[in-house]
Amino acid sequence: MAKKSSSDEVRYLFPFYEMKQSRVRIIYNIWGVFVYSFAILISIPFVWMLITAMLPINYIFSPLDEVIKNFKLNFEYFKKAWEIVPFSLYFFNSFFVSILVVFVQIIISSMAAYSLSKLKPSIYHIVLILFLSTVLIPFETIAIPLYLTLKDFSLPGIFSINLINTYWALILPPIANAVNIFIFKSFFDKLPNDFLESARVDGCSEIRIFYNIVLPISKPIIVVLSIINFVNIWNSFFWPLIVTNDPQIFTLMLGIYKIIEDGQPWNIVMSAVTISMIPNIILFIVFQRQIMKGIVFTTLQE
Amino acid sequence: MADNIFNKVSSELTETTITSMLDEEIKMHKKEPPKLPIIKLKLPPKESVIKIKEKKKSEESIFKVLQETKVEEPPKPAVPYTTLIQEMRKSWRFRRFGKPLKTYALKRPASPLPVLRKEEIRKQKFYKLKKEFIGMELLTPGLIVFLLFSWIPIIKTFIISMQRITSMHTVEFVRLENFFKLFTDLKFWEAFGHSITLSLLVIAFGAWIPFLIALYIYEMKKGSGLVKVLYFIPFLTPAVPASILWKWIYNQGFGLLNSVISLFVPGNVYIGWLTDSKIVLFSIAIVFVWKIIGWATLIYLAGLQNIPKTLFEDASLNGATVWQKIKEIILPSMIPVIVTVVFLQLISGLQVFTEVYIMTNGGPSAASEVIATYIYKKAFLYMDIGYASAVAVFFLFILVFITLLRMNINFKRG
Repeated sequence: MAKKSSSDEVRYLFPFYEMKQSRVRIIYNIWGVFVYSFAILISIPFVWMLITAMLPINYIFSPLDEVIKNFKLNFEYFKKAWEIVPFSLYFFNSFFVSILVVFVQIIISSMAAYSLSKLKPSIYHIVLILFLSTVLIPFETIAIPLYLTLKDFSLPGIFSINLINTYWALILPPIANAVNIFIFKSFFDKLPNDFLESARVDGCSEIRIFYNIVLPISKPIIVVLSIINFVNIWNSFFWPLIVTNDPQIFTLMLGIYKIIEDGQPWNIVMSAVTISMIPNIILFIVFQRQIMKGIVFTTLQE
Repeated sequence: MADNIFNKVSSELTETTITSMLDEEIKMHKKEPPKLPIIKLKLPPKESVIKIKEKKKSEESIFKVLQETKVEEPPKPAVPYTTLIQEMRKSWRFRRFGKPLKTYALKRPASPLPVLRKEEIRKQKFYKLKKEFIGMELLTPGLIVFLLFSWIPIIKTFIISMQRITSMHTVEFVRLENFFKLFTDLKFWEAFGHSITLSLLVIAFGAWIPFLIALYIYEMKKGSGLVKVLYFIPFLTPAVPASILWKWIYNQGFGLLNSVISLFVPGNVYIGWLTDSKIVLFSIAIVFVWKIIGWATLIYLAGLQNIPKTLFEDASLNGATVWQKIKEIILPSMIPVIVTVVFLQLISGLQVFTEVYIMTNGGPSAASEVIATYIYKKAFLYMDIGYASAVAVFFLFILVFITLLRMNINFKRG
């Protein structure tokens, strides 16, 4: 067994040669106790959720000692929750909507960003400012007119459709997300121009350059952005609440919200909640590094 | 002295001890300062340094002569042209005292561009047109989507905010009436105050606790991943399940929080975390902080990685304490990151909808009404669309003001 020598681990605030001083050691240990205990405190709600999801109904409204005494591993209520709530439908709806939105978002925003960073058409400045202005605007302000436009989605004299209570209403508005464009643009700006110029000299058409050269290079950023947008749309609640009324196209979040309104007992509600959190946890386990990197990247971008 | 010698006879009496004692005695009497060895450093002769400095003036004049051939100048003494390798050698030789290597002295004078033929000019024009055409082609889908789903709605909110809509087809234009109504509406101002207090509470707890956590996680090398994940899981849970979970924890009769408190306090505890109008905002803020701590630690950690590490070594060599290191090194370089975190928390605290809507739905008698829920209720429950969009416009102006403030702070820092 090769042990790591202490020189491999470099500390900056509490270096090892200062740890001999008792004062520094005490501060370090108190700090550590604070951090660890806070981490445990933060994860207690999840433990409580799992405990109540496995409790029989008799013990839900009893004091804490009896709850802990009578706790047993018991997956009965997960089954019941799966039967009561049409989870498969909700999962399908959420997955369908968010995959479609992400797919269209990535295509549209990468195309726009490429033309803004490399081709620079003459309306470049105006378009850039218009895109920037949409980043500031909260979704609550445009929700009302969006609802009205979707209710009467029409070209005057040609057609008019009511898109409320359809998948279109869930899919179309979230596509317009300007943050993606800016992240793509900042990535494309770093690509060297000579590199594209050489392809142009060889007689490659502009669209083929974009499709065959630029997109394969920007694979990591596409992965990061698509995961983050997927999670955001999966978690969204405000817009589906306004637009959908029909339980056939409820997304997962709306479906869970409806359980509370139905007045189910708390153990079934909690088991439904745990089931609803499973996809997010799986996503996090698989794409942990990309999610963390992407969140830092999107927030420090501005 | 003799006494000293006689005292030591028994144990150790050698020549060296006697001589050393003698020497000490002599020094005591003479009181001469001890002679220290003087080290003489051999410096290079000063002439070589001076010579190189003299050369500096003449070198730039090569290109002046080339450019200004028309003006007849008195012939200058020829200066030897130095190649790049010679220059590098010289700079290496006199690396301590001599002049630095300057690249601008080596550049060629700019030559005029070769004249393009007409065909080539036409080709270039065609190429530019093509580039513009394809650029527009790639932009159009984005433009259409943004036009339909964000620019037109923005303009529409401004228009609707000046209208009174009683049903789908009867629309009145009433200038600024909705805004006058807004300024006298006490319920709206209450909701506005609630959302501001909520966001201030979020900042008060959500800005400094993650900073401490990030500082510690940055220090620990083993097991930092596990702690990071533990802090990050609440941020990953979607807002809906999280707020249902907290609604159960805050339950007045049988929730976890009250039953834990009743372990320490005699008798049963019935604190209405979500039904008492004084605590409601506080307990909503706790949920929000619980969600946001992981996010803030992640961003602080990313900011900490940009601080140059040598500063810490210098500080600890000079005997700085932990508090001094934090105050002098970490805080000044982390200020931009802290500013972004605080402002993003402020904005997201103002925009809270899901947590409030699910846990309290405006709370006991509008004690936890925030702007987003107010807009939602006015627009989609009471169908007062004109007034709701006036509130939305007001909200938009506040958010724009906050972002401008943040940009101003960033510009001042440079």
